[in-house]
Amino acid sequence: MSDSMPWMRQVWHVFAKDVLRHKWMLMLFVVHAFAGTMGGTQMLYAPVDSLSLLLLFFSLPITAAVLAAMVVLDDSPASATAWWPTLALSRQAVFAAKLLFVVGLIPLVLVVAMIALHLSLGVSIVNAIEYSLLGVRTSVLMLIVAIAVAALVKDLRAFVLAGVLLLVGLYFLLNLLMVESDAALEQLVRFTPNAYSLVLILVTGLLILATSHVYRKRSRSWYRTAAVLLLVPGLLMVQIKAAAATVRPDTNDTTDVLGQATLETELRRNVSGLQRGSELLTRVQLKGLAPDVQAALHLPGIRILGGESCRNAITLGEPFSVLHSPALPIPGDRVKWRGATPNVTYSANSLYSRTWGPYSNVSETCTLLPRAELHLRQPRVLGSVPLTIGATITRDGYRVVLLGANGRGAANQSRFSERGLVTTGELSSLPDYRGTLVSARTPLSYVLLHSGLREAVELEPTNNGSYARRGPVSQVVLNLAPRRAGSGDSMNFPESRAEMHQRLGFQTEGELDNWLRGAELLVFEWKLLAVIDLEPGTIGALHGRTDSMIGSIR
Amino acid sequence: MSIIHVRNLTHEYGRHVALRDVSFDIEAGSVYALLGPNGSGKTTLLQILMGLLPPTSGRVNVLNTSAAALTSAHRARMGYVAEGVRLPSSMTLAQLEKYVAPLYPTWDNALAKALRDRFQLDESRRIRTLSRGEHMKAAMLCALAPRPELLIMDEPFTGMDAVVKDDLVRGVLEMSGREGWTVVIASHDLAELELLADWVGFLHNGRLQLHEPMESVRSRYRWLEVITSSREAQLPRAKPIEWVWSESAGPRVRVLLAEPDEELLRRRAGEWFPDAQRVELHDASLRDVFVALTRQGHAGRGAVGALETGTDHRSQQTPAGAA
Repeated sequence: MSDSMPWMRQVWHVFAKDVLRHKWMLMLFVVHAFAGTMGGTQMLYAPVDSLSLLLLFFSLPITAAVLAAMVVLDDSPASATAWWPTLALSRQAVFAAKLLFVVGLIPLVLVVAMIALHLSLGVSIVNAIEYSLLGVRTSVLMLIVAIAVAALVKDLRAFVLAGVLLLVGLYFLLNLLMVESDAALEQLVRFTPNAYSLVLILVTGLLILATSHVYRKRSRSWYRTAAVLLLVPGLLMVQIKAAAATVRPDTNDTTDVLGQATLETELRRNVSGLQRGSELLTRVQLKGLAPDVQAALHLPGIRILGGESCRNAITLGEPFSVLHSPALPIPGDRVKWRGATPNVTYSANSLYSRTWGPYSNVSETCTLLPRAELHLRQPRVLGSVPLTIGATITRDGYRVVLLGANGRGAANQSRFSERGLVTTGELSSLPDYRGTLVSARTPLSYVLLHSGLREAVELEPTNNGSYARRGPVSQVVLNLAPRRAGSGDSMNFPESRAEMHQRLGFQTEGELDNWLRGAELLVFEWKLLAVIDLEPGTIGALHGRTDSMIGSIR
Repeated sequence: MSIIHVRNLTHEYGRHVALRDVSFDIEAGSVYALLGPNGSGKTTLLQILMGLLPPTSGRVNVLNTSAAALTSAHRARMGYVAEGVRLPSSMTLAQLEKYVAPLYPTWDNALAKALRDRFQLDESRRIRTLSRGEHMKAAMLCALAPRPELLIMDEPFTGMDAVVKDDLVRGVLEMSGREGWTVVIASHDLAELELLADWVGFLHNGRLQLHEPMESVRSRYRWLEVITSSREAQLPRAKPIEWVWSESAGPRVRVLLAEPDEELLRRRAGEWFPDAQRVELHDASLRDVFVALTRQGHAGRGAVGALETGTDHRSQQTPAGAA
């Protein structure tokens, strides 16, 4: 028997052919990758046309997916008229060559572009490589999905159609899963970092195996197609759901964190003053928590079954409410928070209580399933800078640059724009960085601190949605308005300047101006210490009772 | 020695049965013509032989290996040309050759150049600029230049002009004879096949209706032409078993017979047509046999029937009528 080309050489041979064949598209992608990534820098330093930069940035994964599909479809396992299976080529070698191109070469371009960006921002080469590799994980997973889909279709048009259908289907699936109660899925997404990695590796591995099987058999039997079609949304779901979920610490031992703290809850019903339906009110009391720990009540498990109003209620995102705000980790006396929610004294770290009722539009037929989480976090100050343009904080992979005013802010931003302090750029990589499709990192927190008066105002990033968190560089516009208790999302709350001043506790705008002149920007991140499940049993164990914190409304 | 060994092969596309219980062998060094009307299962059979399709059931061995388990080393000994197979459109012919050649240790550059010259292919042209016929020639070049032990061709002459076709047939014949290539070819160019093939298979509705040496086909099938004294020729009430196909117009009758014994036929002609004025016997071409078998749809069962029990096909030259 004559010897054929060795397996590894076959892989390289097909890979080289693909590179040669798609060299123009590849060059275009390289240009796009650098322009799209470096575009983030432009967004930092000048109020340029952000829309085109965003388009450039967001079109990058689409270009990558199309390039991946073209490479796969070149030697399509699905096409009945494909020529390559008749050649003296191992099918697995062809698949390996496609993998090498799609999850090797394409991400390499992205990594190099990101390293260049990091280096241009003054990050060390070691850190630049580390952050870039972390940042490219999402792209790799998405490209594996692209390979799997492309392996099932006959041409590029079918690939685009399949991609659109997949996204639409996923949207409805996610909506369905969010609206309908699915305890199993809810359990699945309560990831620790290790569990998340395991699930991701498992699903990704299975998807690669299924695609490899499609190559080997070169036929789309129903079960192969079904396997890929189940695994692709599965992988995306793991990413999306995990992005939305909290990455929990691996240890469940909360004894040290909780100390002698106790949590008490009391279910109330209050229908007074409501136009329709019922408002669910729960009184939550947390006692004895360490002063430097933040406690926030999250309701990730809330599933509201019922009418349209319920559906609307949960699309606002995961609600949370800060129960206990820690003292800022700065030397000296405690700081007084300005403009905080009435009845909350942030500087007092022992007894603290507030009522919670985020769903004023819940109709009578809705059912709230009993699950809530208590997130305990500790702030870590990254640095503070005076309110001057160009001031920079660099620490552990973060690089925060205060930029010029964009002058386009709403009323509650204008005070900052007059002082040239609206935009803030971030360059970050947190330890719990997950590189998911939706969220690249946990957003930072910003506080204006007046050291002389020992007063602080928490700033709300108004564009901390998914795009601002994505990628190595993001832009954040800060609002003077403090974060609203009871809402964790980034909705804008139109507010007049006068109202804003009043809410921050200033009598006049001039008073606010004076205050700002003596203030500095404090940037800090939150380290998640523990997540405590507040099932009815847990609550009972915490405070000796077994009443249900959240129950049905009739 | 069989280079292809097929037993009880069935292939289904959903509910449609493309091949039904097909069994045959092909000896190394033979040129096998696979005939059959459109949709008879030829392409499916060839794709299964190449390992491009998994059979639904049955056993298919190629180069002493299950077709489903053919490796790149096996494929390095095989060549495949099929109508409709798309070569990489953006490559030039030179790039295509450069890509394919290293995959085959037996690739013959001189032969590739000779074929390129013969086919008048410009190596600097991109595949997408080639005409349909030139595309087939390029595919043919890639399949022939490695000097394959087993060459499988599905409608390879599509778009080729008569001269090139003739050259190709001669070339393949020469190679097959000199180097012992085994060639399996499905084509509607029956004249070329008649020159080329030493064995013939006929597929109809997924069944192998005929499988025998070309010599046997040539000697067994012949036309009987009879002119009767009646204004309208009277055909026998029961169709004689030797008859494959018949047509009549006035006193003239034309019958394709499956019987090699000429004396016997002349005797039988007298019995079938008592009022015959003139009886003539002519050789039938492969085209005549193909058309008649296609029309008749179920001829030659006897020739294959014994095969299906596993008897060596070379001994299966039993006339259809004797079954």
